[in-house]
Amino acid sequence: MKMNQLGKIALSSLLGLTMLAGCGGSGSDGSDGKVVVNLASEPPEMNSFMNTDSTSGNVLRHTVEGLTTLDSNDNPVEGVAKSWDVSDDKLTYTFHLREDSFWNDGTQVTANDFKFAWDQLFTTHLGAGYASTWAVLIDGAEELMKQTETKEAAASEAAKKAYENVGYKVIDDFTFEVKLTGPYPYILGTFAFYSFAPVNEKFYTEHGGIDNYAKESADYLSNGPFVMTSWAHEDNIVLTKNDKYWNKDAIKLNEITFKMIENTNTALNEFENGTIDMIGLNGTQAKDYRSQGKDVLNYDDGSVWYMEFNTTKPGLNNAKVRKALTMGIDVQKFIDTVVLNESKIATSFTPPVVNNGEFTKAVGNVWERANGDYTEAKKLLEEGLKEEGINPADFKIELLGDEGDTGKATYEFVQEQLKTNLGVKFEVKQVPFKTRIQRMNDKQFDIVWAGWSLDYNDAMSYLDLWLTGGGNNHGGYSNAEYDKLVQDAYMEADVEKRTQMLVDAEKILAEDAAIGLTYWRSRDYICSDKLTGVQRSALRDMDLRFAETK
Amino acid sequence: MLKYIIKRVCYALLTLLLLIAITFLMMHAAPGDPFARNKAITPETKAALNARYGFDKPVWMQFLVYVGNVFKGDLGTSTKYGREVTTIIGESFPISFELGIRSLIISILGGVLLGTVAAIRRGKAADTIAMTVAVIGVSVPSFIVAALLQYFLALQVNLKLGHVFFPITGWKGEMAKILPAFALALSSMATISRLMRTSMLDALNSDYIKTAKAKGLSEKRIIWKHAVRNAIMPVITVLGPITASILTGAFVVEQVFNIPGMGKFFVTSIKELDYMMISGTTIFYGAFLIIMTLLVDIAYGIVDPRVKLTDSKE
Repeated sequence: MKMNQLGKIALSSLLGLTMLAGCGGSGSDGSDGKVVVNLASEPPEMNSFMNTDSTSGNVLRHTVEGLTTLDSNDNPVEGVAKSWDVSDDKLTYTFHLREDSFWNDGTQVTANDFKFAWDQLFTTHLGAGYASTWAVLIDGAEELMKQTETKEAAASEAAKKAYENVGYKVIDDFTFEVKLTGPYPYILGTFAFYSFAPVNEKFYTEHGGIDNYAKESADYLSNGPFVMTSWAHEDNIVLTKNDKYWNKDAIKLNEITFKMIENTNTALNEFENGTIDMIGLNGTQAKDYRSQGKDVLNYDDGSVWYMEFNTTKPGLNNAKVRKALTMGIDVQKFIDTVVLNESKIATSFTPPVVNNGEFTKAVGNVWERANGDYTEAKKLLEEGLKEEGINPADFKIELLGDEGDTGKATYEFVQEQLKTNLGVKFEVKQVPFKTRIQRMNDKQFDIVWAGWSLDYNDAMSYLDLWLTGGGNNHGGYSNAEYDKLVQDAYMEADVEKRTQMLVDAEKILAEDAAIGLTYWRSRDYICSDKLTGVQRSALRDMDLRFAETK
Repeated sequence: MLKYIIKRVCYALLTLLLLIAITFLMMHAAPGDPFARNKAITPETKAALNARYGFDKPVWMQFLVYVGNVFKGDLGTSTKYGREVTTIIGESFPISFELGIRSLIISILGGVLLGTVAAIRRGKAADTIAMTVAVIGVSVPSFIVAALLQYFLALQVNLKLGHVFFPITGWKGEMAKILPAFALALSSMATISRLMRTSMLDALNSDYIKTAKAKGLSEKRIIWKHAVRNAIMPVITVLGPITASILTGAFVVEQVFNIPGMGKFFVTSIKELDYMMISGTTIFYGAFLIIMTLLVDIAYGIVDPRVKLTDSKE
C-alpha cells in the first residue's frame, strides 16, 4: 500500500511536468471515420441482460439497441420499435417493431428476441444483477423471478406458467406487448437500457449460452449501429459500422477503438502523443489543463455524493445530530480542494440531470448549509446529543471508506472539517471495497462516504433508495410519511400530482437529514480536434453513435 | 542426480498443495462477498450466483473439488469476468513471461557488465558512474522509472522528432517492448551489479588470479575466463528471488505501459475478491517459481562442479 501511495505522489509530480511541456492534442489525422477513445478498463460483462457495469454499458450502447433508444436530450425515441400504442390507463404498451432491423449475421430482429432476453433477465438462477430493479415494473416479472430461483425450479410446471403469464408477450414477429404494474412515466426511456436489449436465442444457444455468450467477439451478435470485430482482452475492443443497421445513414464513424488504459497519466501521454482521440481527466489533470487555457469538456454524470448515516446508532439516530454533521462540511471548499472541477453543491438528493433540471427546480434548495458560520450547527449537535442523553465529550464517530488513495483525500477532508468546525471526535477506517459493502449490509458502520446514480430518467431512480427496508438503504433510515409519498408516487398516473409527491419526499429527506448530502458530480474529458459530435450525459456516459471525424 | 530431482519434484508438489490450502483458506476467511457491488442484489440473486460458481457448498467440499480440478488443469471461472481462469492466464502470462525474460536478460547482462567494469576500474570514474546507476536503480521504484521513460523517451522524443520511436503503450512490435523491459529490469540490474562488483573484487584479489597474472595471461583472459566465472556464483544464487520479483512485480510496469499481462489479475483479484482468480494466479505463480528455483539449483550444479546434486550425509 505504501508503495502505491508513494507512486501516486511521484506520478502527480510527473503529471506536473507533463502539463508544463504538453502540446495540444491533435488526434490522428484524416477524415477516415476512425477514432480511438479510452474506455479505461476491460468491460467485465458484454451480455446485455447480465450486465450491471457502466464500462460495459459504454460498449453495449454502440452494439445493441432496444425497443427504444435515447436521443441527444436523453429522451426516448424509436429504436427497434418504430412506433407504439399506449392504453388509456398507461399500463399496456404495444410495440410495433420495424422489419428492417437486423442482427449483424443477417437475421431479422423479432419480438421473440425480446421475449427471450427478458425471460433470461428475470430467470433468477442466472443471476442478472438488475433483475429485481426491473421486475417491479413489469406485471408478472416478480412472480417469474420467484419461480426460477434454481435451475430445477425453472424447469417446473409453475415456472412454465410464470413464463407464459408474465406481462410481456409476443403477439406476432413484429408486435410485442408489455403490461406494467403502474403507469410509469419514464418507462419508454427505461426500455432503452441495455438490460432490455434483445438477444438472438439461436445464436446465444449455439455459442454456449450463459457461460460463453459474449465472452469473445466471435461469440457476440450486434443489432446496434456497430459490430464488435475484435476484442483483445485488457487491451482494446474494435467496433466497426454495422452495415445491416436500419439507421446506418445516420452513423458517420466507420470504426471505434476502445482502449483500456487505466492509468490516467498514461492515457494523457497517449492523448498528447496524438494516438488517442478522447480521454477522461482526473481532477488534477483537468485543473492543470484549464489553467493553461485549454479546452476541457465536462458533463454531469448523474451521481450524487453524501455521507450515509447509520441511523440505528446512538447519536446518529437523532435528526439534529445528522443535520449538524451535514452542515459541518464546507462543500464548496471540498469541491475546490479535493474534487477540483465543476461539480456543484447539491441542493436536493435528485440532481438536475433528471428531466433536464425541472424536478430539481421544483424542489428548490432544501438543504441548510452553514456558509462559514457554524454556530447553528454546533447548537444543533449539542441539542441532539442532549436529547439522546449522550455527553458531547463521549461522542465519537468513525467514517468507513474504501482503501487506497482515491477516497483518502475525501475522508481526511471530512475528518478535518468536522473536527475543526464542530469539534467532533472522528476516525477514518479504510477497508477493501468488498469488505465495505459487507459491513454496510451488516450495519457495522457509523458513517459511510457513498454515491448514487440513476438507472432511468426520473427522480424515483434516486428517491426509492430511502424506502424503509430498501436493499440499498444501509443506514436503516425510516419515515412512514416518506414511504407513503414515494409508494403513492409509484402508482400515480397524474404527472403533476406525482411530481409534487416526490418534491415533498425530497423535503422530508432534508428535514430529517436522512443523509449528509454534499455534491453533484461533474466529470471532465478532452477530445482531439479530429473528433466531433461526442455526446456524454448521465444516462449516456459515452455516446459516439452520432460522432464524426473531420 | 535423478534421485535428487525426483525428491525435489515431490517436495515441490507438497509445497504446491500447501500453497493451495493456505490460499484457499485465507481467501475464504477474508471478509466480504465476491458478488457485492454498489447496487444491492437480492438474497435470491446472490444465492443463485453462489450456486452457479459452486460457493454454496461447505468450504471443505469446495476445497476438495477445487484441488481435484486443479490437478485436472481447471482453475475455475473468474467471478469478475465470467471467463475461465486458465484462458485468462493463457492469454496474459505469455506476455508477462516475455516481459520478464527480457527484463531478466537486461538485468543480468547489464548487472554483470556494470559490476565487472566497476570492480576493474575501482575508485575511478567508471566505478562511480556504475555505482551511481546502481544506487538509482535500487532506490527508484520501477513505476517511477516506467513513467519517466514513457514521458521522456516515448512522448517527448516522438513530439520533438515527429516520429514514433517508442509507442506510449502496448506490446506490439520490438520497439514497444524496450522501455517496459528496461523499467522492470533496472532495480534487479542494480542489485546484480552491486553483488557482482563485490564478488569480482574478492575474485580479483585471490591467489589464482595472481597466479594467472604471473603466468603472463592477458588481462582480458584473466577477467572473463577466470575472475568473472567465479565471481558470478552469488549472482546465480539470487536469480531465483530476482525472477520472482520481476514476474510478480510486473504489475506496475504493465499498468504504466498498458500491457495486457498477468500482473493486474494477480493484484486486483484480491481487491475484487475474485476467488478463482486469486487462487488460480497464486497457484500458477507458485508452481512457476517452484520450478524456477529447482532449475536454478540444477544450473548451480552445472556451473560449479563442486556443488553436488545429491543428498550428502555429512
